[in-house]
Amino acid sequence: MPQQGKYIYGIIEEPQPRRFSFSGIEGAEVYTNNYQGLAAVVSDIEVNEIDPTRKNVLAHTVVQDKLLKDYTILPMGFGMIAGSNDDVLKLLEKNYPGLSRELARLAGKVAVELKVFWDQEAMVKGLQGGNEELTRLKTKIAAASSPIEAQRLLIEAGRMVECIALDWKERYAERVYAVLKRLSIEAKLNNSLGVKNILNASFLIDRSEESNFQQEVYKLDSQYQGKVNFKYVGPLAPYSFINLELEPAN
Amino acid sequence: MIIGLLYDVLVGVPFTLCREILMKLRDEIDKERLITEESIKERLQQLQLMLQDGELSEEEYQELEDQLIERLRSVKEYSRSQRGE
Repeated sequence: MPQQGKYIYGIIEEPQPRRFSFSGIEGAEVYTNNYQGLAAVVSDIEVNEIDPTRKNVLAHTVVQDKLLKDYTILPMGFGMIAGSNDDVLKLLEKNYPGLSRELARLAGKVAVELKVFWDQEAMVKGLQGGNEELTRLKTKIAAASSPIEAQRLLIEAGRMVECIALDWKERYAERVYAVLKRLSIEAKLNNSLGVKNILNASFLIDRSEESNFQQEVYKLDSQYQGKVNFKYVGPLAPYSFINLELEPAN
Repeated sequence: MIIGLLYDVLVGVPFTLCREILMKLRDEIDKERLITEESIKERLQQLQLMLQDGELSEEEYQELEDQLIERLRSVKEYSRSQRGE
């Protein structure tokens, strides 16, 4: 039989042992392992590694979202598994000062994420909008002597799309980021999620300010509608804003 | 990545950007170009966004997720062997 580990979702402030009504990864019960006012929220798991499938990642996120309703949470990244309850307690003990400090600093704050993508139809229109260079390329492609020649011309045209995308990034995405950064406590840029993604950012805000922040996002969205598409997600556990590197239990 | 879009505009052949991203992903998996855990996880995230946007069917998503998870396991296994574990 595989060894039973403890899957850790995050750390909260909770002096009492608790068993939650919602379930976690693989439908397991979610409960706390407490140490001096702090608690690791865990569930039992019979593997020492878990695949980041959509189903598993969703289960992980759902637990954190539920906890976020009642607690300030220091979320663990997906896939953190300790060997035993003792290891979880050692982890809390070893990192106690840092965890307490970060929980105090992030109390009452949540993260939100905004991703901005250029709109494909708008880009097509932008490309077709009286661009002489593209008209020239179009004629050349139609008359290309070989598929290799056509491919070369398409690559040339590709550079023009990149120029437009860069222009939109400066004109829309960077402006959006600057406005929202001013309204947040902290802001961070994340890696781009592909060619259409011109902004991927996280913002740390006061929970009480979430509605105002959201209103501002909607305002910006309607301002740039038709050119770019917004994807706003929140409130989330403040993954990107934790200033702590955990020391391992062992 | 944007060549597909240009097919739409310049050649008039419908070829969505999404199909192109899918082809690139399949190519990366087939040719074992994804060599870090991070790059594989980023691709998984990208796939999930495409599924949410309806740019990808459930079956297409599942097929690619299975392949990426398999690839992730190999990469992890290789890293472990390099560390002598």
